[in-house]
Amino acid sequence: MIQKLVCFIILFINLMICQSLLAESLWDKYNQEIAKRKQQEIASVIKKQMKVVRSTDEEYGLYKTALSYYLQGDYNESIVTYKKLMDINPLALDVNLAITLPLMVQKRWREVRRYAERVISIAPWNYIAHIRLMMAEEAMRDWQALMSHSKQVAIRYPSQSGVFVYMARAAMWQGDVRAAREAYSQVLVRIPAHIEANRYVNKHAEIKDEKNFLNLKIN
Amino acid sequence: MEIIKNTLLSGALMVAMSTNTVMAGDDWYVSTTLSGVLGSYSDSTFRNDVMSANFLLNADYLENVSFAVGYNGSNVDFKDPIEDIKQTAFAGRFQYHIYSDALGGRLTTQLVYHSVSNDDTTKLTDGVDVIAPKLAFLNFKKDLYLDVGFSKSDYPNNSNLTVKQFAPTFGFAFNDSTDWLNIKAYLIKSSDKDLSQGEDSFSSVDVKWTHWLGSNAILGIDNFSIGVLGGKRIFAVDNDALAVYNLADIQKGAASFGVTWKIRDEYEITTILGLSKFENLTSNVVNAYTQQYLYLSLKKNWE
Repeated sequence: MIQKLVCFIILFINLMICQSLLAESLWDKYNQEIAKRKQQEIASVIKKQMKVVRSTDEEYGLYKTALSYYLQGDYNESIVTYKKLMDINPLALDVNLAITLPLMVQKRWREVRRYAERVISIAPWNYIAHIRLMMAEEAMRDWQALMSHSKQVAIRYPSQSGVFVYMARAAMWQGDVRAAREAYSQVLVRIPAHIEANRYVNKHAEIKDEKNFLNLKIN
Repeated sequence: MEIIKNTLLSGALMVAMSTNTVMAGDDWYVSTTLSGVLGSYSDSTFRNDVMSANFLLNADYLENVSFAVGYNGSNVDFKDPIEDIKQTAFAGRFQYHIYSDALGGRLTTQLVYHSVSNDDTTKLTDGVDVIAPKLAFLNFKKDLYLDVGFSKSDYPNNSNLTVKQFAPTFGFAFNDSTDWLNIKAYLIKSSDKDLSQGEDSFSSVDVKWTHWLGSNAILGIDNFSIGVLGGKRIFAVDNDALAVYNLADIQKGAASFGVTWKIRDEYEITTILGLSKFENLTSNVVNAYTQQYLYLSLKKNWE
């Protein structure tokens, strides 16, 4: 009797180890295929791993599935899968950020704005969320919002040239040449070879630098 | 027809009720447009001038669904005051957007309903109903547009005249998307040529070029457009402007020039100057005349 019980326990442990190894090897394979960008194979790996993942971690499996759909160019399915994930865990910041990628490809900027703002409401100074929100504001030509937004982000992330690029574009489209030139100058301090900034600054070289013209202040 | 009318009116009511929510900055994007047209006729045997006022309320739920309701009030002043016409028209538009990765763009299904009533002494142009479905495609890059629009207009007081319009559109961007060319064909078929000035089939092409100016544009202009219409049309329906041309004679060409200003991403002011050539074949003598008009509009985005 004890012998049978020991055999059963060993068998059970083996089964669990195999299950975990299977999942692990599938994820390894998945990561390898992602690295190789073999989209067809990614799909087949995903199909196989979903069965395993459902019994281990559905949320993670769905996340990988949504990402795979995105990488394969199946943006609708990617969005649908990310929305399923939001039902499971509405507070998942990575999901709210990730859904903006397929939405950006489909140029659904209002929805990009919606999910970026959702992340910002939970994590107020998440850099990626602010960058995606600025991308949406630029695409929707909401120059006033982009200007005040980029100023606030620049205070929190002063080393990031990208923020100053958005600030410069917002100023430029509002006809504020001085502010645009100063923002582009800030870009050049960080990336001296920046093509767009160099072009603008050289074109408007006659305007003198005015320190703090952008009036960056914490609101 | 009644079901469609009720559906569109319900949508309109929903939009109107949701306005306060939108102002709170939710997922609804609402705009209102007030516009007016002042026009006069040269060489017309019967007509003096025309005035028209419009109100349009448009509400989009993100980039998925769109509702619009429009009201139009028009006065046509005839040389004989007895013939003067006062007209009111209501329109409702519903759009649903579908995103297709296979096609690489957005498909839009649209349904528009128009209801027109007036005090035309002949009653011929009164009580007009128009139903107009459309399928449109815009690629993700937003530089290619195609649509196929159809409309059926019923004139119950004009011996049950039915006018069918097939209006395909092709549009594309060029010059780094700072220019857009839109080509729209109007293929119109009347059920009775005696009721449509002796012809039962009309075709015309409307070509419109729009150019967006960059930053630091002269006079703060956002864009300007030039439009030309060639061919013949009558009883046309324009579902972009939500307009039914039930009072017009045979249009034999038109040209227009428009300018749009944007103020603080919140307001848009558009002005269009245009002229149209018409021909009236109802009387014994053919009367060719010209209409000159000025269109002004103010659009507010409620965000």
